[in-house]
Amino acid sequence: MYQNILVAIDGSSTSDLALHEALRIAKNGSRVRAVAIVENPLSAFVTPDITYNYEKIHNVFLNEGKNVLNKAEVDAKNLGDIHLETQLIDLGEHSDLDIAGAILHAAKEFKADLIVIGRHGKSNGIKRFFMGSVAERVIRQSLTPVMIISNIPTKN
Amino acid sequence: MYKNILIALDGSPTSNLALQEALKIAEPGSKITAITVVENPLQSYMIMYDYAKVHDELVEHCQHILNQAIEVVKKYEHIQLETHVIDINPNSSYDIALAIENAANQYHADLIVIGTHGRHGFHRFFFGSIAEQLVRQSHLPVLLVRNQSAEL
Repeated sequence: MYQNILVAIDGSSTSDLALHEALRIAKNGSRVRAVAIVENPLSAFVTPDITYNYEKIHNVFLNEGKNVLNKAEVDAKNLGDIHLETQLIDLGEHSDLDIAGAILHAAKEFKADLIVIGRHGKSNGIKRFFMGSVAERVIRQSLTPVMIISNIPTKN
Repeated sequence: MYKNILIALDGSPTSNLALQEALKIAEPGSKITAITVVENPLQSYMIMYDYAKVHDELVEHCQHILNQAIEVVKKYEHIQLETHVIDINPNSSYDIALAIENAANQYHADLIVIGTHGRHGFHRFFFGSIAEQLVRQSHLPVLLVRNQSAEL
């Protein structure tokens, strides 16, 4: 049995599947923690001139992260009456971590013995043929077992 | 609960760790399907040899790996183990990841477990090409198990 299952979510349909898989693996006594990473808007939109309001965008991202976590909490309650721990990680302006790094950091902090992550996250363009760079980096760097969930739901 | 966990073994320490992980995730009533894929000797040895002889030896080696798995899983009373040596026709396109994926479908697996560094060389920054390809292709959840000691 896994004691501490960490699942990284971003509100994408694949991340919903990853959450469901994590909840499925969880047993009585397992802790499940969902983390949502709020990106630094500057790393998301690279434009020659910063023509947008940083704070405004950042707040939108923060709210979205919170919504994703709130929805996951409700899902967990509905699916298996599981108490889902949630953590919002704000990479904000001081990001020396990328998303994968933040996931691994959160896993370490949580003493996760399993990381569950979707193969493709939200921000990847060509979804069909390339594995998301976040998943790829997590796999390469993690010493903890990583479960990768495809964007196609399993039958069960 | 996973009903049928497919694990691909190659006899490496990492694949032994993967088996331990499969046993950890298995529950009473789960079945573990352990497979080994027979390498194409033509890919590994670019020298003159008796193909049939090498092939037979590799098949035997695969069976030996599965026998070791049988010994390990024997201690877990409530877990059923099924083993298969997957022998690919040397004339077909030789693709271990595809063979694993096909086996997972054929045996109706609901989870694939694999070590990220098999016998095909250890690289710190690149996870095994077979595991990588499998993750890219598979529609099933894939649990990747890393050899922790290899990092040190």
